[in-house]
Amino acid sequence: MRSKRDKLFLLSLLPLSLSLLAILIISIITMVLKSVDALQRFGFQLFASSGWSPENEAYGLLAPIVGSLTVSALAVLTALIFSLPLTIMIAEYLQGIVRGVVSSIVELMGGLPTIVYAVWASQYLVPLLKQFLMEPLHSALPFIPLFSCRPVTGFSILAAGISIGISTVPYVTALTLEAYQSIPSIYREACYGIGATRYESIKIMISLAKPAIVASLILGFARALGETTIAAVTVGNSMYLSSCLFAPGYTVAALIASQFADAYLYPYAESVLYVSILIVVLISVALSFYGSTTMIRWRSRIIV
Amino acid sequence: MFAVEMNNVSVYLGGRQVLKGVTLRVPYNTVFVIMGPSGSGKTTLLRVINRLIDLTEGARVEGSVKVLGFDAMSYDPYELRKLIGMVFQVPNPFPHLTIYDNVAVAARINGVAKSRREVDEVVRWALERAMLWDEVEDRLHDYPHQLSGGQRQRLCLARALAMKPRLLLLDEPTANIDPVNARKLEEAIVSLKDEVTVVMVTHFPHQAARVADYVAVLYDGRVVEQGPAQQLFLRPTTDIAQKLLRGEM
Repeated sequence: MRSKRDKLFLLSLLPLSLSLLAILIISIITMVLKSVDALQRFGFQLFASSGWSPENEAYGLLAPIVGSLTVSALAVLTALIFSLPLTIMIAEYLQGIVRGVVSSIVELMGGLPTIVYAVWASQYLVPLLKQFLMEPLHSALPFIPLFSCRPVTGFSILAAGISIGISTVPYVTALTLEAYQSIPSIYREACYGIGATRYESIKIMISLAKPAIVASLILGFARALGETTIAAVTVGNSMYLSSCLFAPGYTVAALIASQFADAYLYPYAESVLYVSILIVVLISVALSFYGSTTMIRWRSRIIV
Repeated sequence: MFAVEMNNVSVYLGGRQVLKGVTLRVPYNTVFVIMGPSGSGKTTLLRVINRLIDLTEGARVEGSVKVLGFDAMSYDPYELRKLIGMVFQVPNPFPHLTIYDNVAVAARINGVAKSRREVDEVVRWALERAMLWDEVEDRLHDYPHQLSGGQRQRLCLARALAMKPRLLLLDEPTANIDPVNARKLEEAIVSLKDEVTVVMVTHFPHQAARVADYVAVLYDGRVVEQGPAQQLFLRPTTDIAQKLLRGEM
């Protein structure tokens, strides 16, 4: 039997918790409504071209959409390169205080405002990448389309991908570490029980955790897709669609950040930007849903 | 010469003494059963033999342990474990590997088989010895979750056998499976002793009577009685052993 006071308390909680859900629904409805104008006016053409000249009413979202997907893919790749060794180090090798310190640093990095990464990347990382990664790759393998252009400023799709990737490392590491540590100890014992060395055991455990690692990367992809500050500062902000990773480009998030303030000056500009937001939201929601359900299914399968 | 020789072994887990001066001898090619109530230290004792105890943080082992003629405490634990198969209380086949691969991985890791054909042969041999082959012959590429609990446990036995171990440790292998599967597992165990020495923990007296050549009774971290199974079952000398054999403990 619930007391009257209990009921009152519950009632007082409801409006605020429900209002958050309402805000989500309202904002999606707003995006859809605001997008309608542009979708009616330009239709599919909006996703097939990449010109951007509001004065002439020419809009194309192909470059920023492709840019967003490429940058996020590079970011996930970067995050994987750092997160997997970090996960193995923290879970298998580090102990006691050192482990605590390393975990705390990773957590702390996850809490840093993205503007910190953005400034650091634009001042230090991008010039380094240009000199030690882009230029060597371009001179060694210029026949590969991805490396075919000479890096001019360094601010490019690749720079944005790696910078965002580094900022995503703490998030992806947290997910992979949680998954790795949630593997029941009976499997680790099984590894040692069949005479596996530590390295062999880690190999088996990683392959056991593979679906969860993939899910973490999908969730990381969704997060990278929405990353705005770092993208706006490092991607080079160019509407030109190129197959080369060293060329400047755009991401949807960066496009919105740089264009939204003046969009009201031109017909359809605002509506086109809403279309691009809608695209990113839909992709993010779908990926997050897929990533989370994959993780849950994996967990239910390994826990006995 | 003994397969396992423990002298005055004590184990401390985070300050608590779990084994208190255990001395026992396991002759080669026998089934040696360790009996005792829950919490008497049976599992810990097995884990000392293959040094899986090393994985427990804060565990400390004292005394001398000789396994297959090697000093287990100073021998490289990874090398030691290559000689010793183990089946755990909860069936733990790798959920992401097929039935075939679960067995094959043990053979490959230990260098028992290299070529595809050799691995095929070892997998078949191990599954036959674990009395599972007939049931999985045409579904080797299914996953363990498609097997029953008892089949999963026999798969774990096959995995342990695929290492071609000289010593096999079984930690209450039938505790979590049905009686029919338990019987099959027992049959498999008894048929194995020509090739391998078996040390098995159980708390079912009837099971012990069916499979054991030797029995040690463990109580509160001490071996209170040990000897040939027949002798111990017919004339237990201690009160604890009597109670345990009557199933009152």
